[in-house]
Amino acid sequence: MSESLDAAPVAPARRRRRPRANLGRWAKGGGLHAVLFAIPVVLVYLYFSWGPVVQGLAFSFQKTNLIRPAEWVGWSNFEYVLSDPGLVQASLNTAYFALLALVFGFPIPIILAVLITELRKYDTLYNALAYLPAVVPPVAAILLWKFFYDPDTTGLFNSVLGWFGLGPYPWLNDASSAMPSIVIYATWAGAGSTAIIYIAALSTVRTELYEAAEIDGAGIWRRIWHITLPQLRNVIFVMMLLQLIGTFQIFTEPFLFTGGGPNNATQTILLKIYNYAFVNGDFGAATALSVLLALALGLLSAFYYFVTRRWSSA
Amino acid sequence: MTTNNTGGWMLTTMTYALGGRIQNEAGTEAVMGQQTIDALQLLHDMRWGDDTMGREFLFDQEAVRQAFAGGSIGMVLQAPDCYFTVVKDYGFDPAYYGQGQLPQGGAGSNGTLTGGSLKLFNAKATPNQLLAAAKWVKFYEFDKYYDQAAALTDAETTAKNDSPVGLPGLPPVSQEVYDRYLGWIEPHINVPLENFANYTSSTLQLIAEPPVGTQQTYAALDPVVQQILTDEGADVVKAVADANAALKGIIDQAAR
Repeated sequence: MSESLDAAPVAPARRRRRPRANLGRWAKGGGLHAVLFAIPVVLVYLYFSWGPVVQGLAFSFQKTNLIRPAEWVGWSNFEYVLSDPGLVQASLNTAYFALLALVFGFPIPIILAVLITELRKYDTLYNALAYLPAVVPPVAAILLWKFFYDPDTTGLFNSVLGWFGLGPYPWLNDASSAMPSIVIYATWAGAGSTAIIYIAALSTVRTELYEAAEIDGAGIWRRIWHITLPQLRNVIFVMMLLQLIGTFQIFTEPFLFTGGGPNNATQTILLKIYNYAFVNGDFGAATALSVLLALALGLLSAFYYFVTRRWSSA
Repeated sequence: MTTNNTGGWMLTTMTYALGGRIQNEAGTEAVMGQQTIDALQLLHDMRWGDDTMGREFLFDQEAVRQAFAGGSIGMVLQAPDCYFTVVKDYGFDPAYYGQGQLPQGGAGSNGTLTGGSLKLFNAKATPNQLLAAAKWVKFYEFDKYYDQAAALTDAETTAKNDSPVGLPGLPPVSQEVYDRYLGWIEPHINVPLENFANYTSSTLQLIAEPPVGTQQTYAALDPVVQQILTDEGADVVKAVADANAALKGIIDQAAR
């Protein structure tokens, strides 16, 4: 009884003690269990995802081949990588691939998605057919396409083109046609999975907009340009950023198709990193170039974000 | 054959056959000279003048053996283990397989590129483990040349697996020991040795691979061979000069 009479004057002191009471209540209420559940996942993520990143950063300042003890060499790996005469060619090739992939590989999934959405009948079938190339494992697909790209007149593509009187092309065996050949393959392989995402996004576009446009007399192309694309703005924004980051890291296609291409025509930055690490055994140089690539992509993403800020404010 | 370092390997072999070198003995300088230019010029003429090389050049070792076994390539620069791959793995008819030495030049400094295999022993192994490893190497690599019974057992089991017996190569023993071994396994030899006559009768100098950064050297020479074979107007002399500069960079980096 005397305590309750004392309650009011000591209330401020009790309020200051409340955080401790809150902690106990939080722990009993399940907060502690939540943390305990999360700890294994966080630790695994830190060890397997962030651990290698930090380790790679450390390697880039060392001279190491993973067998002898590593020695710290400061910036010399970065100097070596930046003074490699092949880096300019590799960067140009990577940028060339990114450009071609943007010009050809970016509109095609959108067109595919619009076409499939417009066809009311059998759209599931077309959906599946469009996605089929994405189901083929990349290595198997590339080996198949290597066979298609046989430069003899008896090669598959050359035979088919021969029916129309178009001469046998060297495809991968000529420095000027090697990269476009790879872009054609990459477009074929990637169009389906991107188109699926656009199809899903298209289903969210309100049909009243289309009806209003039709009433105003807009043809299909104008409807696509003025309604569909602006409505897909957010999705396009994200997909383009992902594509940009992805195309700058292209490796599998040049590695399996040409190993760096006739006279370095398809040498890319990631292929150079692979060669530093696994042909030269120089992990310091490989991680140094990886760090530089990561920085470049970070800057590119920041630049992209600022340039397209208008778009994403839907 | 120009991908996966095989182009550089091929160019090195051809350079050695003409009497040239890729790196100097100490492995400090890139010394590709007239012989390399001649080798590249030969490839250039075969490709663009005679048109005997087809259109596909992005082969590596495995792919070119497949093409050879499939009949679309008639003659190819290879190592002697090619017979094993094309006959056993790809079913090539041994009667159609011939092997000989590369045309030589070079008046004395020419030879053939040679490699080999290394057996590595872990320095931290116990003495007993090292002894066991040494005994294994002796059994696996050498016993059949010195013990007739071992030779016959080995030949019989190999023949039963449809693998080649008596394939000419570079054995790790002297010529007399090797001839004695061939005499022992004579009844089991299933390789048409007469097709290898040019190879087995040649006595060329054995020249080691470029000493420093070997695989990187080959990798740097791949684009040179590719350029000659895919670009008719390529300047051979300039390509070799550029390659020398690139190799110097590789040698310096490897010495870092």
